[in-house]
Amino acid sequence: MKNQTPLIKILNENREKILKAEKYNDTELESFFESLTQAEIQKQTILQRIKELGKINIERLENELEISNQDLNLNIEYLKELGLLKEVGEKSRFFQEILEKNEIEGLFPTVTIIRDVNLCCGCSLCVSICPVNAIEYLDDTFKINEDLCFKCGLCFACCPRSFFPKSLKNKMEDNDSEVKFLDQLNYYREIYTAHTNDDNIKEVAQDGGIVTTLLKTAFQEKLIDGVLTVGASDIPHKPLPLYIENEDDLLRTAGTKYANCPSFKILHQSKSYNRIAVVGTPCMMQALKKISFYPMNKPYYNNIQFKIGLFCMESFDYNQIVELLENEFQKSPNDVKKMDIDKGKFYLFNKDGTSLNIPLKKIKKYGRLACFFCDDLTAEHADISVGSIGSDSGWSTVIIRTKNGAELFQKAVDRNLIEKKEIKEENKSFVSLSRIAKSKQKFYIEGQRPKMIEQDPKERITNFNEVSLGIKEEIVKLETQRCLQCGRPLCINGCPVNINIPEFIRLLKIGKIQDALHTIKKDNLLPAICGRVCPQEVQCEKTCLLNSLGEPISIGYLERYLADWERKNQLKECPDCQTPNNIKIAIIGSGPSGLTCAGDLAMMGYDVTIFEAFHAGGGVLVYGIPEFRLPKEIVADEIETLKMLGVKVEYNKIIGKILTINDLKEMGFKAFFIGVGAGLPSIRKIPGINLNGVLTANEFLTRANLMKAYKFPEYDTPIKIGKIITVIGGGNVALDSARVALRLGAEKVIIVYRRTEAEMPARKEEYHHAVEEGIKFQFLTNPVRFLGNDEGNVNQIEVLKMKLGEPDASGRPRPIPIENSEYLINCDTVIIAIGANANPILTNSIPELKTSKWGYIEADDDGNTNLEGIFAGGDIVSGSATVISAMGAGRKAANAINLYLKSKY
Amino acid sequence: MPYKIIEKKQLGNSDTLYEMVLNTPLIAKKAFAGNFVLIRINEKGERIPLTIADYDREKGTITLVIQVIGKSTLLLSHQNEGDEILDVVGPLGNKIHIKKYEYPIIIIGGGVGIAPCYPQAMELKKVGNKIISILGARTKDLLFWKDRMAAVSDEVIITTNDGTDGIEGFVTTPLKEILKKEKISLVITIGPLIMMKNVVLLTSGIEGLPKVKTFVSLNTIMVDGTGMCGGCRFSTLDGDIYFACVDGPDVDGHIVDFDNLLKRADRFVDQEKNSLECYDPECKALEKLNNGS
Repeated sequence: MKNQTPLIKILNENREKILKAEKYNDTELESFFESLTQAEIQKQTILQRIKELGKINIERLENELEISNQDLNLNIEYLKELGLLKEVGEKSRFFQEILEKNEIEGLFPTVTIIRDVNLCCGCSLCVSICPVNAIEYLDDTFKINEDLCFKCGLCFACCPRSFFPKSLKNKMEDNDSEVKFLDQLNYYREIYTAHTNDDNIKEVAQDGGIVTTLLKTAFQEKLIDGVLTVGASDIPHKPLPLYIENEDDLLRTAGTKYANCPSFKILHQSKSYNRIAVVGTPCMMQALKKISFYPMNKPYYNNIQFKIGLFCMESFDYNQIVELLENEFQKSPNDVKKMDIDKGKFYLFNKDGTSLNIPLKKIKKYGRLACFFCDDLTAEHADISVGSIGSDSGWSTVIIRTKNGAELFQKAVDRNLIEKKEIKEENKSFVSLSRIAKSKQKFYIEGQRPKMIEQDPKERITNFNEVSLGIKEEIVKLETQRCLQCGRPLCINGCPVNINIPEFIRLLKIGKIQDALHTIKKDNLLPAICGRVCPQEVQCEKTCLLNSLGEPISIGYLERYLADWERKNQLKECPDCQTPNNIKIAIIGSGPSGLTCAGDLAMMGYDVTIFEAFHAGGGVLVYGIPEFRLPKEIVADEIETLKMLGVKVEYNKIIGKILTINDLKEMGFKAFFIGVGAGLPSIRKIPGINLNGVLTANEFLTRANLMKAYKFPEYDTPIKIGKIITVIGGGNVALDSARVALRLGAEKVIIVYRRTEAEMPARKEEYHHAVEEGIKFQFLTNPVRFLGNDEGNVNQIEVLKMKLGEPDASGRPRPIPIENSEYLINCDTVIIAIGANANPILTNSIPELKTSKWGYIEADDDGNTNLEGIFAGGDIVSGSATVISAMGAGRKAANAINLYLKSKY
Repeated sequence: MPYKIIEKKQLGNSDTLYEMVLNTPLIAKKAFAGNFVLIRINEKGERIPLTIADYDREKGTITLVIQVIGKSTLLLSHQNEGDEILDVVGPLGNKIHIKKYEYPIIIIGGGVGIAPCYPQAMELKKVGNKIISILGARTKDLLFWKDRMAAVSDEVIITTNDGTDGIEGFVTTPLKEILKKEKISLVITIGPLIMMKNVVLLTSGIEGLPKVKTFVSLNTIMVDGTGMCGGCRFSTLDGDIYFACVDGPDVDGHIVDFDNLLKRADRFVDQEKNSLECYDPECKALEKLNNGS
């Protein structure tokens, strides 16, 4: 065959495999291939023509190729999703970004990526679509057998969650004058509230018994010979997809199942029937809609006669239902007869005749994550949609959408099987239905992650002012509206101090700025700092569900906005403290863990003194992080807040030298928190390390930041850099050093890192800033030795190229030297930023204190050490980590100290 | 909490040498021979290390001896009794090890290095050691604390480069003589790097002289003084790296790579000049820096 597209080619190559799977027999496969080829040829023709003509408008293409407008649009959407075409205009709802990253060429990826980003709705259509039965759906998720899969991408192409452009979402097949449209409900003809007149059905039905009655009608009228629906399995309340072949069996399937049922994994069996009806949730109706467009003529779905959709707010995995019953009702599925949702409550009817209920809000957290990405309450793509919302008890709301659906409903009415009352647009029921439907669409408010306002790179490399200036005030509210307000917010778990993120965003959204700030401060006393230096992209924002659709909520920006708002309006208030109890506690080190621990304990009423080795408080926040990333004024401000709480700060006090723990005990201190950080630089014994111009990042940054050497000679501390600066390392410290060097007037700054960009431990935003500022990166490169001139000044580094090997203990790929790949880099200064170690001054003064062989203090999660009354946290326990995790440790230790002291005094 | 200058006096017959007594009760309580402090004079000041030259635990004071060599020491020399120093951090570094040695100890102080010899001689003398002190200076006017050293030594030998006091020449001249005729347990030397280098050479077992354990006190460039910055690092002859602030300041002189240290000590010379020029273009210290001495 000429002009084989990648899809046809790969299917042809695997013809034997497909026949072996027995989903298709010879004839079926031929017709499947033929229809697919027709469709592919059409796509190729369009693509070819566009290539020839370059830029083209759709009307011209339509005329030239004599393809119907609908087909043309479908194909263009498809080609766009394949990454073969680009169109300026509407973006499809799902996955544009991820596809671009995957650089697909003519074939889609498998549905694995849908599952991995929590988008899988569980319809299990992919199981039916896969021509070689490589996909298995079990226990609420699917697995792909990599041995069978030949990566044709058909599963992805058919998945309702892969792409589903809005232009298709609102497409009707049988448009006529009787069709009405409402954004929340999509197309519909009439809406009724109705109930069955069949007593048998009434007895088992959930609400009005409409679905069962419609199916009964269809069987009686011989419109169908099968129904794909959901029955009960051997396990109580675990649904099972099955085909019903006659009206008598229908009763077995009546009643709502709250656990998700992967019905479409048996959709391909429908070829045993002539005409079937399918009953399912909105996402399943979307799946059917999708395969009516993509990617080919449907080989065995032409026999779907009726699509009966069910209203759905969200559904649950079976184990989530079990969890819900256990946690909220202390029941097991065995105890339960029936579940129901009505008037804002979730009801449980026990087998013993009793019933229980809880507010709907409480069950939200058990729902499937994927349901947050659904904006369809009323099964917009069904022929008839049925649900309880909008009707009284014992009645169901019925939305008739298609002519086909209208006829079936009418037949049931004619047979006197259904009693109906029309719901008109002005009715209260209609209003409430559309309001609830709208609430499900809430997160589709158009909006993009805001951009940080930043100093221009050209400008900022000439000063030490802050690079990031905040986000625009008017965007803040829009951004808060993007938050899904998940029932099970993963962001909270992503945050090392578990800030109630959805709550602060919600309060900010409704304008309660002060309350929003208080919500943060309950868990984090230093939002102005964390909003600036936390690596949100690997913490809270990493777990945000919106990642599945595009970009996460900018939690860090919002946190910073709130903190800055407070500073700007000088609203800083002294948090309430408990009555002083005059119990003295010593905090050693004023870094993030010490400050947090001190603040918490002061609020509990303790008499807290911080002992700091330097002349300024903040630890790494002042000596390590540069002014342009975290203005020192902010750190000083936070320390002032602590002073308002009664915390005393003793500067220039190196505990272990001027005072020992025993001295402090004699002075009346009852408990101690050690948060002295990991301040010792890591220096490797590389030849030439002691040349002038080779210095540690600690020295370089301490001179620049703490001692303000960038203002030399106004300030007395000198710093020397020369023209070309090389920084060794890939973390934040390396980037900070490089960017300080640039601001001090370096002509060229090169970062030498032994792994690649992807493994850099630095905050992503800082990396981008560094690139913008013109910092050069030499990845997969490691220094071997430093060479110097006669005066003992470094002037070259010899480096070795590396390649990546198997992951090491840190989980990152191990860099392996490439032999004979040495080369030289000219430079005037080398800054070593390859990590930090524990400082032994304090620990050496307390020999009984247990430490690891690297000198880190051994402490449990709450900061307890092996010595009574001595607690520790932050980098001196964990090794180099983040500001926020140190703060988390400080907070936990504060609670442990409180418990300890409460038990003693 | 600033630190008050209780007493200040000029030393020797020079306007570049000063003795200052600071009120630092907590530091005084812990200070011992070998310890140093880091001081920052004012908000814009740099942190400079100064060895503690004496301490009075009762009065709560420490004594520092300052030689004007750059902007910060010049500024310090301009402070007077009753003035306050913004920051004094310490005691830092390791205390010297005190024990009774079999044979005498030679303590060699050169220039301003005489001052830190005093507490070492004092503490070692207290436990019954025989102390021979050799005090060297370029010229008589730069000699100080002869009397103090005499009080804690069994013998004091003076050398000056120009012969204005004591033996004409370097401290190594009398040292060599002593080593030739007498068994010595330990040599301690504090002063200019080049002097310490030569002392160490002489005690390393050359020219048929016995090898004698020799401690040198390294007063390198520092920022924090707690092992954080690594600015004070020195290399051994084997290429191992140590930090003067936490591994010293008193270290075994025979392992130190002095040539490397000499180069490292000069690494901010240009900035020193710049700083002094901005502060006081007329000052003598600047002249010296420009002359490369």
